[in-house]
Order: sequence, then C-alpha cells, then structure tokens
Amino acid sequence: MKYHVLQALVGLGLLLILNNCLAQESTGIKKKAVAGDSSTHTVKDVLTADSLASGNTKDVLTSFFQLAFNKLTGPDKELNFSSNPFAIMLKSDTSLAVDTNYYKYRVLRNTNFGFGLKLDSSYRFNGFSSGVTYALINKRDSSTSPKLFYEMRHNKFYAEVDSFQTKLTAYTLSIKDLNTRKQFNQLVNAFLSKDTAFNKLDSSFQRIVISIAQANKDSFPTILHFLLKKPSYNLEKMKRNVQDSLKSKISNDWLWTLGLSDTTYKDQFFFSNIVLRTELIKGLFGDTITHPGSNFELDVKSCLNFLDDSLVKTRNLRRTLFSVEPGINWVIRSRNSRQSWLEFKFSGSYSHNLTTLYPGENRDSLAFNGTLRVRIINNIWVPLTIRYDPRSGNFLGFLDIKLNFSSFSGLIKRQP
Amino acid sequence: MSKNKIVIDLRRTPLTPDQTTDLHAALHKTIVSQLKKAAAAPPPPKSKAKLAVAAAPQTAVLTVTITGTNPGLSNISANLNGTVKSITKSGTISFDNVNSGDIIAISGDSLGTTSITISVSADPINMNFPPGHINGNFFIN
Repeated sequence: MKYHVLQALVGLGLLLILNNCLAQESTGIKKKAVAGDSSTHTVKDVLTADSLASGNTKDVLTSFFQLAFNKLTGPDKELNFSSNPFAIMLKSDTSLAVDTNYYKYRVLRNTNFGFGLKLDSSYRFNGFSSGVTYALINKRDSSTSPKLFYEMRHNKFYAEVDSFQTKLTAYTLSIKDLNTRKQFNQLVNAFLSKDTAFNKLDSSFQRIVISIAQANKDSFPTILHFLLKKPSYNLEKMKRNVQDSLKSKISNDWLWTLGLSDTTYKDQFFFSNIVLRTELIKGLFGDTITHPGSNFELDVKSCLNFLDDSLVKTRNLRRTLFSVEPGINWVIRSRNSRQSWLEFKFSGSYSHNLTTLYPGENRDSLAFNGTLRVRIINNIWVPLTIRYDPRSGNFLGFLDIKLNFSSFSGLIKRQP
Repeated sequence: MSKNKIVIDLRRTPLTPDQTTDLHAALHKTIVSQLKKAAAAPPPPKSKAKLAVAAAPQTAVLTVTITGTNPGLSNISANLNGTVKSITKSGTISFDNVNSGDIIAISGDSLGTTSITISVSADPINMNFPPGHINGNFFIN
C-alpha cells in the first residue's frame, strides 16, 4: 500500500515540476514580448543548435533536461530525470549568460546530473539511482566553438555584406539634409538587419541600393544576385542561412563524456551498484548540409560496473563487470528542417567478468543490439531496443519514452 | 511731428478737422496694440537641424553586452568616419568629437547574443543581434 502511495506522490511531484516549468516559460515569453528586445536573456539563448541534435546525442548529454521512462516493458523499470545545472541556474539569474560569467561556469555547462526511481514489474519502488556526467570534449557546442568562430571570421559572404555596409554608409553621409540622412539610415538598418523583404522597402531606396551594387558588380556578386533575382528575400534571412550552414559543420564533431552513477537498495541507503561510464560520439560522412537527408554517428560506450556479489552474505560491491559497446547510429533527417525524426542504432556489446564467477556463468558474453528511435513530436522520442544473445538465442526488448526539453516554448508552441 | 510716421493719401475724401483727429487716433491705437502683441510673442522656433549643427561635439560611448558565449569568441567593430575600434568581449567603445549627423557603423561576428546601447541621442538608441554576423548603423541626432 505504502508503495502505491509513494508512486502517486512521485508522479504528482513530477507533474508539478513540469507544470511549474511550463508556467515559468510562458511568463518569460510574455515578458520578452513586452520588452521587445533581447536584453531579457532566456535559456534558449545559450542552447544553440539543439534542435538539430540527434536523439542519441541527447541521451548522452542533455542541454536542459530530460525525463525518461526506461524499460517500460521489462521487469526493472526506471523513471529518470537528468538536467544541466547551468541551464537551471540561468532561469533564476540571467546575468550568468554574460560572456565573462559564461566562461566562469564552463564546468557546470558541461555537466549533467540526474536521479531516478527503480521500479519492479508491478511498478513498485525498487531503489533510488543518481548520477553525474561530464563532457570531457564537446566540440558540438556552437556557443563556444573556436572552429565555428574562425569560419565566421573568414566567410566571404559576411565580408561582402561588410563592404556593402561601408558603401551604403558613405552614400548616407553624402546626403546633405540631416532629416533625409536620418531617414535613409533607418532604411539602411532595415536592409542590413531586419526581417523586411527587400521589395517591401522604399522604392527609391531600392533603386539606390541596386545602383550601388551594380556600380561594383565584382565586389558584390551575391548581394546583386539577391537584389535582382530574389527581391522578396532579405539580407538578415540570408545571413541566418549562412550561419546555419556554418553551424552544421560542427554538428557532427566529437562528443566524449565521462559519468558515474549508482543505485541504492529499496530498504537501505546503501549502493547496490556503481557504474563508471564513458561514451564517445562522432558523426560520420559529412555534415547535415552535404548530407541533408541522413547521416551516421559512431557511438562507443564503455562501462565498469561494480555490483553486489550475492554469494557473500553481507551487502557489498565485490563483483566487477567490464563492458564495451561500439555501434553505428543511422540518423534520418527532414531535408527542410534538418531535424532528425527516425534513428536506427546497431551495436554489439562485449562483457567481461573481472571477478569470481557464479557456478555455470561465463566469463565473457556477447550480445547484439538494435535500437529504433522515433520522434513522436518535437521533444518526445520513443526508443525501442531489441537485444539478442547469440549464446542463448534469446531476444530481449525494452521500450523507453524520452522527453527532451531544450526550452519550454517549443513544447508550448508544439513546433513541428 | 514724430519721425516714425505713416502717411495716408486720402485723395479727394473731404474730412473735417475732428474727423481727421479721430482717424489719426484710431490708426494710432490699432497699430500700437498690434506692435505690443508682436513684441510680447515668443520668437519663432528655429529648425531642429539648424540647432543640431550648432551643437558642440560630444563623446559617444557604446556599451556592448554579449551573452551566451565565452570572451574572445566575438569581434565587434565600430567605425566613425574611418576610425575603427573593436572589442572581443562585453565592454565599451568610446568616440570623441561626435557631431550631429555622424554615423557610427557597427559590424562583426559573435557566437553569442549582442546588445549595443549608445550614450548620446541617436537613432536607434539600442541594437540587438542574434548569434551570427552583425551589421547596423547609429545615426547621431
């Protein structure tokens, strides 16, 4: 009876957390709309390129938080919550996002913590779990990538826009009447950094801009093409597209994490197991621009698991298992949004017992795993894992549900 | 007779001495009252443009706040009449001898969100940019 009460309390607690966070985010959106500028920094500001990350990557390192219901069809079910501590701190103190603070908190930004509940086949409490993960190498973070910054500094289109801005400014300064100069400068700003289509701007301004570009055809080939062939476009949109292309160059880069997790017994705060884990991910065969439809990820996991040796009467952690699981994750993306919607991971796992064997137990074991991961809506993934043991010929299946939150606005708006 | 006078030719209109005196008195009263009103009225407003031209050069301070990235992963430049000043993290850029009608051109790159505010009267007074390439002009009023 008490377990059912505990279940209900935990469920209620999680619902309250979710509800509270949703409420906070919707308030933030309203505040931002009133303020009308980006001086109100939100969590979304620092979670860049998150929507393009694969579901597999989000399982390795979450950018804000993840709720996971693991092994729903198995005898040992898990309900896990993992989060980024910096993202949570940023919700209450937005000044942490200022670049000088941002660097100070780099350790927290690369850290995930988590805790969870273990449940038995009847959904009764079967122990607590907790863990921490740290990204030793994260070259996918577009907010701190020197490689991305270098690409931006040497981008030809950006240099072309800068030169064109210089020409437009020189023309503006040649206008004698100050009121006319001011009005022209407002149009220059709308042209350079607003989401207004070029052909919606003042017609005489359009003629002047085109004439400036035509007078320097060799210097402004991309801008002239846009002005003449795609006037319904705007420069801001073009800059965004270029930026997305540059970001995609790092979206397949290295991610290497190191983690420690533990589980307690259901009747005593004593560890029933401790796992030291490392995981490495690297995208293969180009980026999401050169391969917009699909690409592959190399995913290698390795664990050292300290378990209770049940042959010893007292509770202990004397049993040690080492395992390694190399795999390839096939990520299928939408060609337009470049978001992953279906993934299939095939991996092989090898396990080795480093300590005393139980009677009839093999020191080494091998298994093959397949995980089909479907994105139900923007933030919700459903991974189905099938494990095959070639020695026994048995299949095991696990069904999970993962809710990834990069920002709550996405959940509210139900973005596709 | 006063030096400050107006002469009106009445042609052949016959006037008696009393009528002539009354006419003088009426004209005098009307003109004096109009002159008094004109003297009491405030001077006509001068155009803003002319006032601005007359304004003395000032110092403009640009406050740049960059969020969501590390220091060194931004490069923001401000250009005033060929004088270029740059910063790579949150801070300020200042220009002396800024005159009305001048333009401070902002350009650069940042991996974070950039907000720039200017200390003098300008159009716009504040500009915000998402991560990426930055372009915008401040017009000094």
